[in-house]
Amino acid sequence: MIRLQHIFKWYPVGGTRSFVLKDINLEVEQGEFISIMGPSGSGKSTLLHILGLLDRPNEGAYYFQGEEVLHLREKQRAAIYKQHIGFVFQAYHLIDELTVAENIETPLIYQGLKASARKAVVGDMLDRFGIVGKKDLFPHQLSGGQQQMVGIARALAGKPKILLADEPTGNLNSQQGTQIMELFKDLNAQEGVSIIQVTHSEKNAAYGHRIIELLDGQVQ
Amino acid sequence: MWKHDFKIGIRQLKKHAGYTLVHVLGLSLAIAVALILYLAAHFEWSFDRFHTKAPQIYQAYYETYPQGNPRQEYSFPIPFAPQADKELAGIAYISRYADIGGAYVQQEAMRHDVTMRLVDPDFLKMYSFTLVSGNPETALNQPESLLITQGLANRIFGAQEVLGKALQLQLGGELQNFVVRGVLQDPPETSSIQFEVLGNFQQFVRMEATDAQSWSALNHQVFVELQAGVDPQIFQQQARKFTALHFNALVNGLEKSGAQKNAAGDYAQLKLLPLAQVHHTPGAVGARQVPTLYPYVLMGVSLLILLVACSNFINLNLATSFQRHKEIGMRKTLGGLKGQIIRQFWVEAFLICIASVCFVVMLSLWFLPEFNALTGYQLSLNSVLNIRIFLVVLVLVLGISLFAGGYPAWRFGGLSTLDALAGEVKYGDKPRITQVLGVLQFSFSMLILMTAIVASRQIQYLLDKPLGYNPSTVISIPISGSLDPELALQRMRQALTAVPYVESVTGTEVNMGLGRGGSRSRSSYGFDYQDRVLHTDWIRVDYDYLETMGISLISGRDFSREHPSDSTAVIINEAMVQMLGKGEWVGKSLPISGDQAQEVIGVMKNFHTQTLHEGIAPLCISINANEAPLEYIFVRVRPGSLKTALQDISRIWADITPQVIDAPSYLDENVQRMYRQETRLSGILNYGSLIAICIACIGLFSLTALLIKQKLKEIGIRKVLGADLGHLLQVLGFRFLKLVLIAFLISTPLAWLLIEHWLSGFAYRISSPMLWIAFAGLAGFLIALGTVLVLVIHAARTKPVHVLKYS
Repeated sequence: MIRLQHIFKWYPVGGTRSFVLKDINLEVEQGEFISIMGPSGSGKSTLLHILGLLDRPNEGAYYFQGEEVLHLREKQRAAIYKQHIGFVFQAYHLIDELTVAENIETPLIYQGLKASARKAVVGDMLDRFGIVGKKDLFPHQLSGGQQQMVGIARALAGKPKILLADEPTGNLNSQQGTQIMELFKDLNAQEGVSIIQVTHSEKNAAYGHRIIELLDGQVQ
Repeated sequence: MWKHDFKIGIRQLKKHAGYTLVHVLGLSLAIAVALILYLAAHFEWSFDRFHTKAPQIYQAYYETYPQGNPRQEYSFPIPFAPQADKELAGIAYISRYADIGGAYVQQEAMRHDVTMRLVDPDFLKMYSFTLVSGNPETALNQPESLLITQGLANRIFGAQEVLGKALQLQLGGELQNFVVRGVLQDPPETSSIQFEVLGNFQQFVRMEATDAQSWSALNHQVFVELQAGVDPQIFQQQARKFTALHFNALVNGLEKSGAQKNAAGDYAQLKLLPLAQVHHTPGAVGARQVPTLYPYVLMGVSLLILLVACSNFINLNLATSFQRHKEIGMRKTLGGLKGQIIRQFWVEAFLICIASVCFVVMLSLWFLPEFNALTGYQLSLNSVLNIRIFLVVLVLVLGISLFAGGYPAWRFGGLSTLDALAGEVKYGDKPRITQVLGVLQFSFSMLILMTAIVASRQIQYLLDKPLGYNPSTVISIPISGSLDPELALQRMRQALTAVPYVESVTGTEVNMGLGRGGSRSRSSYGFDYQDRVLHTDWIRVDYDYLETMGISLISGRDFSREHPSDSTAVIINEAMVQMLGKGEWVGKSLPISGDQAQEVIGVMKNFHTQTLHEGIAPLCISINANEAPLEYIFVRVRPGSLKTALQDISRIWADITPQVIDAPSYLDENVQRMYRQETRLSGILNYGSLIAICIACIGLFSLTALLIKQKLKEIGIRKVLGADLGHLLQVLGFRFLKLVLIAFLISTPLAWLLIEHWLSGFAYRISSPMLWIAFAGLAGFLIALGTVLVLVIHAARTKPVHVLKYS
């Protein structure tokens, strides 16, 4: 589904290049669950951002479902992540002014769904994540674990093929972390959603089918 | 989608209720003020424009050059108009127009004072005064025909049908019978020509029978409508022969008095003043002329306030929106397009704008009466409620909100999603626009503040300036009606001897300052003296003039009843002495007026007879009754008795004269009335500057708040490194005050140019406008300093832990 070829990413530092990613080649099949691991500064997040089209590499090629996507215009790229990609962040990044239900609804609005269809999907999501009772609360009224639940529900509302998670349990305690990981496992197994997560924890990484170790921007 | 945008918009505004309030208040205050000033300017500009044939209508005048400078004479002799109609080509219609003082309608034992004008029947064909009833072709054709306005018809007759009604009207001292032949709509406020009754000009010819054939008795005004396509310049050219033929007496007089010729070689030229300029030309028809510049100043202040407010609104909005980079980034991740995000932010700004506009209507309703009271305008909001203003406001609202809301969204929308999420925008980059706007609005505010302060200083200077006489306890009584003026003064003197607080009584030909009717007159003579042609102003006065006016003598003596020859003597002022040359002039004779030379019996100190726009001209005063009739009686009363004095004296005066047309008034009020326009302008500028400065400070406050928020991390680090409050103030304070300094540098030269231009119209002006400009600048600077300091001190006190943890 995803193929990265010779991806390089660097920042110019005082005339020389400081490499974040060096010659990354990666293939992700539909339905895979991949964990990316590595120490701080190894380029995990950058790789994830490039995978999610949030960032561009300096060199290399990126095929999404066989299509080269790095040269697409913003509108077309937006169409891809609208359709296929869901994001989960360590810091949740919920919109403070929106209620739980409205946060989940936002990507559906951008997908152009009608109000009735949106309502059905949102209801479905609230139900599935067990947060129906919290649908009218604002993010600051929730605990970290609950906020991340909403974040994941929002990411999944648009029925993405792939879920990208940047240390989704980084701000959570171990019990909440386990809960989220179990959820990922079920999603992957039952619904066939591909998942790529960045994590520091060996335990969480073990949920994946495959672990990619990064060190200084290179796959080990 | 729109619903979603509006919902978030309202929620966002609620969350920042304080900011929202400041936004709405600032913007609506400014729009309201700008709107009112625009109304005032529009009011001044719309004078006399409602006449459909306005571009072809002119007021005729003669221009002469007695002292080299052109002087306009708007009064004409009775035979002029009919003769001009016969001899001059290009005239479509011509109408004479005479003011009739003291006319009143006698109806069933009730007396109604009316404003009456006598005009030729063509008047109705030229002007667009609408007839409600009656036939415009014939309504004024008979000498006893009258047209009255609806307002007057209601006052006199109530709801009755008035067409064909007979009524008695006092005209030229006797009651006569007239017939109402038509009812006119009341002339609009914006008409220079105001009346309640129009009569046939034949009545005027009858009243002035002795002057009916005279070409030298100037007693009414004349309006001309040129045929379509006739160039007024060419018309004026062709009138030269006409002038030479009919006005030879005037021309000879001018030549004899040493007047000069114009470029074409004429002593007097017939000219046409376009109707649109009548409202801006002193001396032309109408009671409340304003200088051409005046509405432009109103418009300028209005625009500046609007600019300041808009830039402030945009700035405040940018400040809050730039804080929302995370939200923008997140929305992009969720698939939001740049356009969608811009729209959402725009909707928020739009909501604020709309709220402001609604508030504006309320504010204007509240301000307008105050403004009218302050400035003497009769503005109403009705004139605003038209489609054009609505469109202007709509475009303004859409534009401001699009820029204020859309710009930050556009800036962040253009960033990569990751940068937006992290708020990674270069500091130097981000606030540049807000800094430019901040400097701009502060420059404008300072500009208004500077001009306002200098203008009010100048007005105060004019009002405080010693006039050379003391108007403070003098009451001025206009002599009018059929009573002989000399007799009136004599009787008044007698009656007032019994009043204990009256110090002295005199008579004079000219009032000081501006009378209630807004009139002012001036007469002057040219005479040959030792091969020079000299000019002097001339005022006919009566005994005790110097004492009553508090004018001191330098040498010689005052007019005295013990010297019968004083009737042909004059007292001259210092300026006259200066013109004649140093030396002893008391006892010498000057051939100023008539065949017999005038003996100088005294020299008096200079005093101002004109506004302080002009310097003091040479002046002679004389008690010669043959020179000119008395028109005013001046009474000096003891200080402390002014309040009762005006009532008492009015009563005594009413006993003496058969009818009182213009009531007595305080002389110093008349003097202040001369500066009515300036005082009004200064008042508007004062309020304008207050509002502009307030708005600019709100802006500066928000700008500072924004910058400080961005600098919180820096503040934290500096504190960890050991900086104390003083250091922080130095580092942070300077950044903001730098902006104020730039604003000062921009506004000062502009203010100086404007002020110099305005002050150049005054012969007497404050000596150091630059000092006041600097003072205004300093005031603005201190206000800004205070605003910034409050925030910087607050920021500098935050604990570094809090700051560093969140950044």
